[in-house]
Amino acid sequence: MDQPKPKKPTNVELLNRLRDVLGGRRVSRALGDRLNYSHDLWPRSLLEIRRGEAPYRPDLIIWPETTEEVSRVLKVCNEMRTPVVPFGAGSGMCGGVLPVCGGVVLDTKRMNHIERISEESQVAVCQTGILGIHLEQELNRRGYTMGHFPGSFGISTLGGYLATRSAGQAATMYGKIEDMVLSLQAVLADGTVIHTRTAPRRATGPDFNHVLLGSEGVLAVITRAHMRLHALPAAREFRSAVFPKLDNGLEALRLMLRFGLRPTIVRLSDPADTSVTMKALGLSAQGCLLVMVFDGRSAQIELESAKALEICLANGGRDRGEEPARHWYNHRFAEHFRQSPLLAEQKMVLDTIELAATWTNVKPLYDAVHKALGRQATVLAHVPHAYPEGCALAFTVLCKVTTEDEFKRYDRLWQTAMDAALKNGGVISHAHGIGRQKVRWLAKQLPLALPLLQGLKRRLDPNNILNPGKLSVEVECPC
Amino acid sequence: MKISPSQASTELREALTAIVGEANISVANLERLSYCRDLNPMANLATNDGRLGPLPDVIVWPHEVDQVVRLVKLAAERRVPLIPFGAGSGVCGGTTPLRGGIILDLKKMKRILALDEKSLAVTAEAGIIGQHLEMELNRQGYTMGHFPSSIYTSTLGGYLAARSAGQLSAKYGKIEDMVLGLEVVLGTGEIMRTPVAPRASLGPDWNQIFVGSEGTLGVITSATCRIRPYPPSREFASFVFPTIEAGIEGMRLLMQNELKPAAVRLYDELDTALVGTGSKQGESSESFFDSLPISQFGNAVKSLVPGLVRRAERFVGQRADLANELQRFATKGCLLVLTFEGEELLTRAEKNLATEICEKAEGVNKGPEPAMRWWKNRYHVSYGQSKVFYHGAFVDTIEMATTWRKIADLYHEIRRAVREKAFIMAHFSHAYHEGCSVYFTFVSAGTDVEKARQTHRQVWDAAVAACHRVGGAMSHHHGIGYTKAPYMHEEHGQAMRIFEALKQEMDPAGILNPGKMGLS
Repeated sequence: MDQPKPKKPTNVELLNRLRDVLGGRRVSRALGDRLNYSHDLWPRSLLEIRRGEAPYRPDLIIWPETTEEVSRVLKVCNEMRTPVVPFGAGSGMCGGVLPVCGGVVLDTKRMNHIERISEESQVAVCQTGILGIHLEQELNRRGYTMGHFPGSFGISTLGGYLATRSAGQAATMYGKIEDMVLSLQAVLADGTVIHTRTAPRRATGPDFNHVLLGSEGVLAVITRAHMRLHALPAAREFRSAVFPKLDNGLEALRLMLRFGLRPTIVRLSDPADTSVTMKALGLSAQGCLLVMVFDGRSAQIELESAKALEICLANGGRDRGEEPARHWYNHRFAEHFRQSPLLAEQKMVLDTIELAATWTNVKPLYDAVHKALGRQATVLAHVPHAYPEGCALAFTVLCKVTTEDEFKRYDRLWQTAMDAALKNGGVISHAHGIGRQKVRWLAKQLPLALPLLQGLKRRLDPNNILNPGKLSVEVECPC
Repeated sequence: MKISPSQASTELREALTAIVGEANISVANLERLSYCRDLNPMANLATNDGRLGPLPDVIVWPHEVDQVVRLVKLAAERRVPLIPFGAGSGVCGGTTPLRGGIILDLKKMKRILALDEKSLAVTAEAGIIGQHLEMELNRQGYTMGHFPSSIYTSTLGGYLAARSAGQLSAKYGKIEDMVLGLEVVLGTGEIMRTPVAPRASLGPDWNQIFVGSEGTLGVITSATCRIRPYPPSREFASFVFPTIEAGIEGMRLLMQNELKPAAVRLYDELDTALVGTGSKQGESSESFFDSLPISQFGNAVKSLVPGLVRRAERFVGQRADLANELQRFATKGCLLVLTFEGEELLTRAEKNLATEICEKAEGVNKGPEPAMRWWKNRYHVSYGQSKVFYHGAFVDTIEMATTWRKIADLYHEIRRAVREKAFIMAHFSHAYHEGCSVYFTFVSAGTDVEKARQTHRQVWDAAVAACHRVGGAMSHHHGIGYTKAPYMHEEHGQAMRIFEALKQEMDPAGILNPGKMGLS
């Protein structure tokens, strides 16, 4: 990687001015904090850490509590040309919060209030630093759900979801985070607070929410959101099936959604994922396991889940009853946490590569990526979410490495997967975002996006203070 | 009538001809007149009065994206305004050539490029007429589910540019919910093609930036949209609610119980009275009520409140508030029509659940009849209005959207704000999980065109101010054009900086549809 290593001594004036805004206790320059905020969960950064390296380090960490404070600290940083990295809970997997130019990490986690819940409109107004799990628990207590359950649920924030276009396990029913947003409040680099309008739909120009969603902190700091809620479902049904081949399972999923069924969750494993991941969760099965969850009124979900099963059976599936799905559901967050010991161990790399494609493209895409990666690593794949037009595809790759070749092999895995994805009709990210990791391939997938985005950034953030070096191939730091 | 001559120089004309060929360019006055306005009511009124707005200098009809690229580059080099044009059925002056220039009519780019049956996606050029696209999809066993009442006179590109909504939006969404990918020629002549996938996380969503940009950021040349299998079954249901509040509550409960009806339409008391009693076919009438959106049932009004109707007609314009008093006599409650479509297994279950919900919410079940009648007449809506203009009056529509918590307030506030200046009625025709839109039809008049224009502006000023007071979006699906451009800064505040920045990046020469949407 060809990033410069900027070194800028902590500026006493900056420190004092930030303390004026936030008080002494919400500004830190302690080494421990600076190390903790120097990375996210990008496996490449974790490789560096296990070697004892930490190439980027913020100078200061700040914890504003209100939009007004965010506005005031951005004004200070803008005047002082100091980089600001908006930070949620650091569970990103693409290096989106790496402080590649040093500067200030703006941790949003103290902005964690649910300001209002409108039961009538089923809308929650929240600050964006709230952890997903806390938001969901509070909503559940009131009889609602947001329906957003990413694997990082306990260690990720609403703002992080919004900034990266996150997806949860129930995206098949409730959509991704961008489908749940009604409006946003955000602060531009010069401290200007902007609001988008709250309405179910509108025809008043481009959708400015969609400029901020996925902008990964380079255009604005998202401070508040109006989010759509749903009543907690009255009943839940579980169904499972196994298919001899992935094709059969894909076809069954496609036909279910085409029929108009609305499962809350579908998760289809390829044979390796079935025998490794599902086994690790305590499920024994062979072939391609499909677990399904249906939520809603009991009469309706009985009808829908029966029809779904019928479609599975007609496409070569065998009924595995409720238990595998129920078991997976009860252990569904363990899946992600089981992976971390593998990475902590020396001589191993592990990552998840998630793509999306239309139904027409998904099988050729699976075949091409699987074949290419299979020469270098053990590959497990599953379909985590499906839509009437196509689905997401997640590859878990792991391979043994040596201290000498670990970066080379890690980078080669990504190069291989991205090349195969671009050649076979895949989009290079469904829900994890771009960060430092995928920006080179984004430049290939959507060549005009980066120059346009950087042009937009120059106009909204002329001093380039907001998360510099992201959504841009080159790293240019504010001087 | 004097028509100012085209400002297009011989040299410009030759350069344009070199791109599109002689058969695809015109500077004829007939064409320049035809393309000088859309269906915005003030332009209609002015035309009836013999006044012509700004005229385009030249019209071109490209056949392919490469020609569009060359046209845009030419316009940018010479700083000539270029206005993308579909079928001209907009009602906000979105295609009016305010500063003259080139009209880029996309209607000859009308091919269906690909139908991906497996992925339920169609790719078509932007100039295809909605009805043609839908008919071809139907022939292949699919539907796009987009049914604006202008479907015969509007294009895919127009839908996308203006964030159009169709009558079955509750099930299929608005056009922005259908778009999977776009091909857009930017003001620089560069082509942006967004990748097609059900969802992605590739930074900001460029589709959602071009959708609704009304030709100010780029020329949409083709699009890939979601389609669905042609529905094998259809169900109808109708309910009458005692008050508008009760009807709104019924709609809210339907949507929040995760039902997906296709059409959801609730009429206010007056609208219901006009709709509900039915009419004798073939009877002609001179009443302006016959020209209202519910005109197919307009004769019924006379049997309902005979004297008042005639009196109200005379007073409309000067005494619109009196006409609004009609509401008091319209005591038949508020009609909700619902349709469901899709697989029979699902539509039947949905209709049963909807019936249970509506009946619990004070709705009186009126059976399928009223909904079926609406279905049969669903496109008549837009064609009756033109008659109003021959009566020296004008009709316009205001469509706004907000959350359920505020929707009744929005309805009452707008009525209150407008009632002294215009006869106004409403229905609620697009419902979502968290709110819905309200669609007002207002009729007013002035002793001359200038007065009418003033009244029209006053109505809009008052309505938008009321909308912003209550909270909501000032347009749900008609767009901005130039008629609502003055309200854009009020609507978006500092967020307009994003729009301005996009404009500067994508159209640095400022040639694309200038003077629209509150952009500087």
